[in-house]
Amino acid sequence: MIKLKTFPGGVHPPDRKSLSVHKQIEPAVIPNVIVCPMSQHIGAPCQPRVKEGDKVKAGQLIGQADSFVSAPVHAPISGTIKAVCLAPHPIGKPVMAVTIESDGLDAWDDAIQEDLYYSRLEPKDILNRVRNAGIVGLGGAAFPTAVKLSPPKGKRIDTVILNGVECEPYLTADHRIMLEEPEKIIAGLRLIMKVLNVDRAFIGIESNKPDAIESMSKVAKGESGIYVQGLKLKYPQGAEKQLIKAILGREVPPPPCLPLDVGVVVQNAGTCLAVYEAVRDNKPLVERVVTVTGSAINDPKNLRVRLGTSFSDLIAQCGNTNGSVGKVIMGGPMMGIAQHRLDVPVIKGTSGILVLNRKEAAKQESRACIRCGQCIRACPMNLLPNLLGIYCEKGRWEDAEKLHIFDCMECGSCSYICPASRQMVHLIKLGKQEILSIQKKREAKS
Amino acid sequence: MADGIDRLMLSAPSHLHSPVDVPQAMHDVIIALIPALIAATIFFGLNAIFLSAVCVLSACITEVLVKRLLNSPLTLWDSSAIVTGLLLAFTLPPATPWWLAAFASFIAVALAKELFGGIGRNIFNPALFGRVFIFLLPGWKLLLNGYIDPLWWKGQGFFTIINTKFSTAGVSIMDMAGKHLDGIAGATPLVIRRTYGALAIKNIRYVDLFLGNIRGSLGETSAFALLIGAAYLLYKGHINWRIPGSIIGTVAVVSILWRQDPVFHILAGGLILGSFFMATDWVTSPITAKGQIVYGVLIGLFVMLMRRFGIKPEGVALAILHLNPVAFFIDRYTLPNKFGG
Repeated sequence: MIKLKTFPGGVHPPDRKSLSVHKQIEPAVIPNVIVCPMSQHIGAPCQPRVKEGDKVKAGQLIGQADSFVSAPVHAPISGTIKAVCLAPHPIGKPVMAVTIESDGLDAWDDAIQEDLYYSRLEPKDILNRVRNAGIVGLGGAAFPTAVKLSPPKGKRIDTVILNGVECEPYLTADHRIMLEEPEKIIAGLRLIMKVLNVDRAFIGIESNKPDAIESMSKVAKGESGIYVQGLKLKYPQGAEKQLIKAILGREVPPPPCLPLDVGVVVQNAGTCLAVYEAVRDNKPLVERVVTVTGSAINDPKNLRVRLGTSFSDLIAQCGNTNGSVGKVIMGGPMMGIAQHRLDVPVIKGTSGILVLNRKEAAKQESRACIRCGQCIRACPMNLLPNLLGIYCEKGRWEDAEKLHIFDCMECGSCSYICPASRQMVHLIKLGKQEILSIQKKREAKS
Repeated sequence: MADGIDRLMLSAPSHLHSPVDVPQAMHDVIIALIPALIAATIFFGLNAIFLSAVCVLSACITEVLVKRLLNSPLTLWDSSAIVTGLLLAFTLPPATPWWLAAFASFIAVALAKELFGGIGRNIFNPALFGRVFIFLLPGWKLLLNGYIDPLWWKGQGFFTIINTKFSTAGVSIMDMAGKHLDGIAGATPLVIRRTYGALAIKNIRYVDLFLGNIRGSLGETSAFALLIGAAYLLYKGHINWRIPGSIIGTVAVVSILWRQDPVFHILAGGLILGSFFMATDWVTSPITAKGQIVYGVLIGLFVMLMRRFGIKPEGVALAILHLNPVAFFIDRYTLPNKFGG
């Protein structure tokens, strides 16, 4: 057995993956109506390229990306455009979205077909296909993949890391694809290595997925320069910087530095799969695997879902809820976003829909910090979360800045471990916003 | 919309919380203090339990009263008053009058904790504050007569409850019925050493120092029992080695430099109790790793200076109390290196 690696800090939340880990991926029902927000990624929103009444085929471009850090949006189904207007979004405010009514045919765009000679493609052609397919990081952050694959001149990349950690409790989407489609994932990884001109890659998988380690190792064995690295079970092992630290021992300097500053590009397992499909089949990113799970879901499942399907449709397909729903979360329980309505659509970054019952979701009263230091030991970024929380609570923004508030990645380890139930992440998110707006005002003045 | 879903709850992540909360942590501390309470009961008789109960009860009643007075929500649930009461009892001479113990406990909770805003906001360790407070009252020297012999109860009966009386003539240790218990108290090893020199403690065996078969405060004498409790807290992750390790290490180094017996200095007096249970008090100690070591070293130095030059050869309580308000500043100058430099 290879020695398991890990990073300093972190917490051990219960993983609760057994609810859905044995459920094979099933295709979700294609809904009658789909809502495609023009912003499903980090970066500039897309411009709608269709208008009410237009007919579209599945895979056809409907939102164009005009800036470098952006990703185009494609129609996930065939049908008629019903509306181009503001619509609810799972992350915050309503955004411009295209609503498509299905024609029931699920007819695909003619351009989408297998390219038998895809392995002969030049790196820049692969990159173009990735960009045009609108692929973003599917782990949750949704950063445009093509941007990650275009390091600025002068940055030498020597290693690609495939992130198969899936450290968020409950989620099993990446785990399932690593079991069911390891060949495609590794083929996608190869394409990424080709674009970056890198001949070494590591596949990081946590030790709670021995079957995934086995299935990926089996495929990687025949590949030169691709190694599977087992990792200790600890949250947030799947955070980019922590994964690099664990596998290579390199520390990514604080923002604005990126992993590529230490010669590494990290890609999620699902992203590699999407890259493979985009390059081989010319298929844009219009579907993804979503884990629908939680104690309040009757029949948790891993579903292959067309983007734009509403949360309520998927919940209905998983045997509905058993009564006492407290919280519906997009993503995992550590970093996911609580939803206030269920007509929001699945977007590119939706790795899971987690439904907690009332008891689990019950709000605990936040009390005074007792300086026990648990959060400090848990913080994978070596910050002082308790003080950051107190400073943000009191509006002491300068002090919060001095303690490097912007280095916080909001992984939630501190909020999880705090015995006084303090909501550090909440306070830090608030603090970052306040500080940014103060900075903006200051800049406007000068 | 799916059926039966209305009024969804909203909050920022994380949506999952560790089951360990403040009361549970406090319960672990109480569990960790039980071995020392048992040792105290063996050496000082049922009086040890009586005095501890008085302190705990007084701490709890005080907390309820203060909260009522301030019209703020009751916080007895967090069990921190029980911890304060127990720790305070452990620092008192075993023959302290019960009403004085109750008063010390009142001071600890009312002044040192609640006046500052309750748990988490206090600057001083409440138990130590309570103990030092009664030693600052006029006539404090009388308290020093309360160090009774270990296993004194062999002649009087295990169930004897001590009722100490102060008068102008001095101190008389009696039982509840008023019967005088003469000749059971004396000087602690540290006092003997200061007064009569190193030769005078030659006949004190290490094993007695370790097990607690010596004179001293109620819960401080048995290093063995305290270390069992400390091991539990270390195992549970409530404390770490840095503060106790650096205090004990500093005491050892200084005593060697002064050509004194390091084992004696570590085991005699309240060093083990103070290092593992008082100096590690979350609220009043530094939170940074480096800061905890600095804090421990400073406490260790302070203890040794007190033992050699202070008016009283015991300095653990004062050392910790003096460094409590410094803890926050130590934090400021010992910030951890953030990830990525």
